[in-house]
Amino acid sequence: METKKNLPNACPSCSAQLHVAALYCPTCETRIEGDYRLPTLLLLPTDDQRFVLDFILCSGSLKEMASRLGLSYPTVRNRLDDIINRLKSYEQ
Amino acid sequence: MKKLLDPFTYFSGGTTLSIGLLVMAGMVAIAGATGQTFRGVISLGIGDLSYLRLAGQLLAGWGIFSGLLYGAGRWFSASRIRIIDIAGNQATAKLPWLVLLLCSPIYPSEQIAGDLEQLQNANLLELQSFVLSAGLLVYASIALVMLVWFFAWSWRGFSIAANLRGGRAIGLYIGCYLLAEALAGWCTHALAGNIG
Repeated sequence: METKKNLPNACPSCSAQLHVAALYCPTCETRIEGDYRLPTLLLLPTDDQRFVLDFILCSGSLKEMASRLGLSYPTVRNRLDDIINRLKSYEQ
Repeated sequence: MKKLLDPFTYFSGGTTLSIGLLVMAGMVAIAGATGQTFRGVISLGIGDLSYLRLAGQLLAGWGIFSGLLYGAGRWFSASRIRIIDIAGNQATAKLPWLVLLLCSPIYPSEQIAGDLEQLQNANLLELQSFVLSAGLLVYASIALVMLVWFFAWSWRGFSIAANLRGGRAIGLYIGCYLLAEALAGWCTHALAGNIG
């Protein structure tokens, strides 16, 4: 069974934002090394990333999201607003 | 259990508005049958009013408080808030008052009126020997629990619907409540036929 791994985005030692240093192709075993910033969405905590993905899969409908998650509309909207604020702070 | 303690995380809008309107209809029915009236946002009084006036009093208290909370939310919240969430949550938050009204046979309005008259006419010596009835003590205890329950739900309902948290939001809520209490107090007084 394959272990589900979460991509860490903060340094476990100093909590600073991590950069991508290497990429690897499992088919041809090509390695690319460099210093790349993580895309903004990947800086979000894993559950927020899942939320954004679900939101897109629901065609951006907060009502459908609320119904799918079993939460009220404002609760889902508040969560989205919190994520938007977090993304804005990353962009700055 | 989680849904009972924190209902507005799970329900809002049309659901809470429907529940709240049913709760308020129940409150009017019981208040009319037991000789009680509504004063301001949360207070109950004694009186013999028609069901229409009682409904007017209850709707005034709810409408004014919800309107002020909505205005404050629109002003201070960065989120796009909906009036149906604010009004619906505040209507559902009235459930504790329905429970309190259902408990009113413990301390009937006739007894309240009698006790109040006795207290008003009593001199200092008589006041010292005034014995609180068991019914009053039980009813007062229930009322205190219901008051805490109401404010817990009402605050949470506002906080979620307006996406406002922290000390400033609590201050805003208290300010709206005090203003609503004053405005609704005047309205309910007028609806009781005591003004004009």
